[in-house]
Amino acid sequence: MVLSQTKMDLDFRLLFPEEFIKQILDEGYREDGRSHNQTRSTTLTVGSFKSADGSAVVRIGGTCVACGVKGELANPRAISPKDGFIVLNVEYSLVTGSEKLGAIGGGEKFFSSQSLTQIIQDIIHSSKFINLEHLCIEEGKICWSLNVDVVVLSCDGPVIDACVLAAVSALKNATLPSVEIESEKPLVSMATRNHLKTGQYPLMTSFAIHKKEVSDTNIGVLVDPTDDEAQYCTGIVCIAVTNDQKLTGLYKYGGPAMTSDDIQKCIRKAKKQATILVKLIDNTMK
Amino acid sequence: MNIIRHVVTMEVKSRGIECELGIITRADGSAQVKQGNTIVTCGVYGPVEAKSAREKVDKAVVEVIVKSETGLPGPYEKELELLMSSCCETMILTHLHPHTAISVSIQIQSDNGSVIVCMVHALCCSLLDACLPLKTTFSAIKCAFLSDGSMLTDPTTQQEETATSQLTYIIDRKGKLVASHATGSFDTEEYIKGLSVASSTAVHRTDFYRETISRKMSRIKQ
Repeated sequence: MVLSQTKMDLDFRLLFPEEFIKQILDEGYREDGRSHNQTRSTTLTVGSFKSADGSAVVRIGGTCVACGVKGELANPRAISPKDGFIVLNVEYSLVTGSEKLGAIGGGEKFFSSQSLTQIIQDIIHSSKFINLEHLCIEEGKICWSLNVDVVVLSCDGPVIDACVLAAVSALKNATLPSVEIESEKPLVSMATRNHLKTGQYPLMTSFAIHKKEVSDTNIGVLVDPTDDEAQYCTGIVCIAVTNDQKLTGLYKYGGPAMTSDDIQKCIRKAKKQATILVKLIDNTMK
Repeated sequence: MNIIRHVVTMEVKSRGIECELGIITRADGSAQVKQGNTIVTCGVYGPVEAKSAREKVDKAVVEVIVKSETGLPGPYEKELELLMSSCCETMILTHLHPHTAISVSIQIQSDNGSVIVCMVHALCCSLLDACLPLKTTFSAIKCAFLSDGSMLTDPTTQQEETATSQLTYIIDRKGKLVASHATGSFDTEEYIKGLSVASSTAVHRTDFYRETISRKMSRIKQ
């Protein structure tokens, strides 16, 4: 049900945005007519950038994230001669605007691009999505270094979910040319390209938590919050689930304190959302 | 010199915590916390006048800086800053100090596992030392699950390396979850088990903070 907004509602929204959003959340509504545990539709496109080895564009509501993967030949580190590299970099594009980037608490960006990079790298590593040993071409001499560039094009809500989905889909979409070593020199044959060997992949779901003013249950949990909702809810929870339903990351940043029942509800929802996203990836990659 | 020195040690399935308040003389509140060989120092400055670009009309702005033992700050430090500043913003009653800024610096002096836990304790002690109004005290505990399913609390660096998952919980006085940082591969039961262990330690941590502050106060009276 979409709320019909009268002139008075719109004036109230304009003058007291925080009070407006808090009140309608307390009453169990959301501005765009969704229920509290309803996500927005997600679209995924893969392979749209021809110059990249793999790419993906993700849209969740008004959030848009693009990701490209490019392979480079590199020398492995002396400390781990059998491993290749995944170099992940998340950036906010200038077109996202400066004030409301994944906003929480006063219109500043909540996740800086550096912390996004660290979190996504952590969950990709801990879900064992790509075994770095598979990126090795010859031990101690040559290996693949995968540059994964994620660019946030527009922000309206859970940027981190879109970034994870984009990075995972781009890596699954990526093909690398086969390389053979002839007399100590790498010979790249562009004709035969192979997909990367991938394992379980992570999928992220974000929640915003708000404290209900008048209620028997103390806190309210919103799945897939928009920018405005996230800004006026004090806490955020991000749960990463692999495609085989194991947890691989659980981050909570501030906000009202949660009991283990509240957390379990979020985990169940995140697992349900992960199965939807797995289907989306499977259908797109067909 | 107005330094208050004392050491409080406790054992709850973890290495003992040693806390020393007021070790940075020019800060409004400071603390050094040692847990085994993990040492973290934290200083709190404020509330001071905020730069007009950053100031907020209805609350104080909290800035957190995390510095590692060596090297320049990277993505890892930024992520820790995010976690710590979210704790600060939830716990400090920022609406009591509008138009001001509170700045927090956390220096990791040595890391031998469970560094986030140590940072949270140093942060809470120095906020108490700075006499900032807090919603409640908060503490942290880290659990690590090994591949055979057994659980370790307060792991050292070597134990962290062998663990399949590392779960850090930041909890309030009543044992409810304020913030969480969990990585690795784990299932819901493991996470909830860790949380219940964390909740059970909350009361001991509150005693620890009470003892720390009462020693500071008794020193001031003399």
